[in-house]
Amino acid sequence: MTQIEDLQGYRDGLARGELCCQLCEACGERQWPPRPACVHCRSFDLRWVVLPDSAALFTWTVVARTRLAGFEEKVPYAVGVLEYPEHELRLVGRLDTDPDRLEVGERFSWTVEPSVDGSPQPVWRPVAAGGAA
Amino acid sequence: MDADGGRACIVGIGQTELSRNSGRSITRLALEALLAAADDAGIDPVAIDGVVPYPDSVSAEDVIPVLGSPDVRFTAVAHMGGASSLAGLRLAALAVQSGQADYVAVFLARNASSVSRVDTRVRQLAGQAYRRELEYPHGMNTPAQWYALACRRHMHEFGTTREALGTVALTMRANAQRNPGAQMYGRELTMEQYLSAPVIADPYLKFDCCLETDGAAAVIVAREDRARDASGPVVRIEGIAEGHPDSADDMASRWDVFNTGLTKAAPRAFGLAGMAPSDVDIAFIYDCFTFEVIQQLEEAGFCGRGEGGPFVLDGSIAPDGSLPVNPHGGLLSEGHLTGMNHVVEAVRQLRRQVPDDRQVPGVETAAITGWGDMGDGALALLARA
Ligand SMILES: [Zn+2]
Repeated sequence: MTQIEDLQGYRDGLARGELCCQLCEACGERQWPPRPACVHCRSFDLRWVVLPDSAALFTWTVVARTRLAGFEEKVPYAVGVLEYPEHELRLVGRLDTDPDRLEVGERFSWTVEPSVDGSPQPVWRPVAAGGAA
Repeated sequence: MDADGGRACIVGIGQTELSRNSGRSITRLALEALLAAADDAGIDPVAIDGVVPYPDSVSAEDVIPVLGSPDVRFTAVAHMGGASSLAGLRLAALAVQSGQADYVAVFLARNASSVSRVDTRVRQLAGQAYRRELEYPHGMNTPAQWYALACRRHMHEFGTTREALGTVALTMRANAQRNPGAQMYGRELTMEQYLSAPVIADPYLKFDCCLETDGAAAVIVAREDRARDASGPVVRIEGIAEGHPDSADDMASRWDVFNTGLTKAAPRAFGLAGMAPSDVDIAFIYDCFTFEVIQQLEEAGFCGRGEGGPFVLDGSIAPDGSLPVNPHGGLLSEGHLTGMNHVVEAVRQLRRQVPDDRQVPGVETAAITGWGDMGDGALALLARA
């Protein structure tokens, strides 16, 4: 029998062009990161739902040195933590913007695009700069 | 932490030189530190009947044949990243107090500079699926980057400054100038040099980041009644505890980002020891990065949350401050033996075995913090017996 990995639903979402988190059918809470069961009520009855288009920047770093394959030539680049306060969710995302002009609270929206290895991955751009708010 | 034969004590310490390239195997480094610790404890290595290695490195089985005990009774490994050194020390204390072993060696050996650097080592930490699928594709794969996120947020919430980070770096570097064994001995650092150094992961500049080191350190833990032959005064483990943050396998999603393992471990350790933060004479803070010193000073209770910046800026952590920190230079400037070198130096300071210019006067008690993985934490409180 094929084992279904805990992040399979996330991958499937990206393949459809969607950034998904888990929603618990038992208690109605959303959770991130994806887990085998709900951290709020321990139910295994989880499904995948698309995250809202935009989130607020909670914090960030600008990576100036890396040995990570595919990213060596991209430095300096910004990686942030994006926040959905309404769901108490925060997740890591690559910020496609000027790394010198970041501000906590700034709104970013995601799109799914081919990453350095060709796989579909979320990329976040400032909403004011024409993102899909 | 009383038991029939007295408290758990550190009765022996051993450490190799710290270098960029040891030129020998990690198993050999481990044995050098272990045999030095046995010698310091005044015991035959064959008496070591408990072995607690650091995770994902030299194992107990790798060192038992040379140590020579015919009957090792206790082994255990704590998987808490950099906090594993203190978590291992705690396992050793529990083992000797419960009579599961008489002499437990806790050790770490690594060729982290010459062989396995940090971006390869982190592939052994918790939550690998999250790292691989939810961070690497976005260009994030090192502790400097993870903790830079927490640092930036702390700057935003509490106004923590670049100068506060620099003060931590400069204090550790100045301390290393009194430690000929430090990797940064003879290499002073000015604020100007600190500020003009290249960015690693903003806000972290080069000198906000710890060293990569080859070397090994070991301590031997026994009950107080077995400590007679030790070379120096006995050092008691008055209280020791570990703690795990919420969402222990993922830092970015943690709702209270500053509530880490140490936040939970510290009150437990102080409670066990019957001590308060104000009773601590000297602190060894797990200084993997400058901001983590500020954060841990806060979460251990040496100052309030958000007050760590001003605390370091006013000189509190300097050798003549209210809470001298890392007089050996720490992971930032002595070397990075994942905090086992902090334990070794804490024992040396409590025994008054370091040169006068490095000895913090009148030290009776020491605190040591551990920090690892996604914010696992530990706190040990030691005292001269
Ligand atoms: Zn639920």
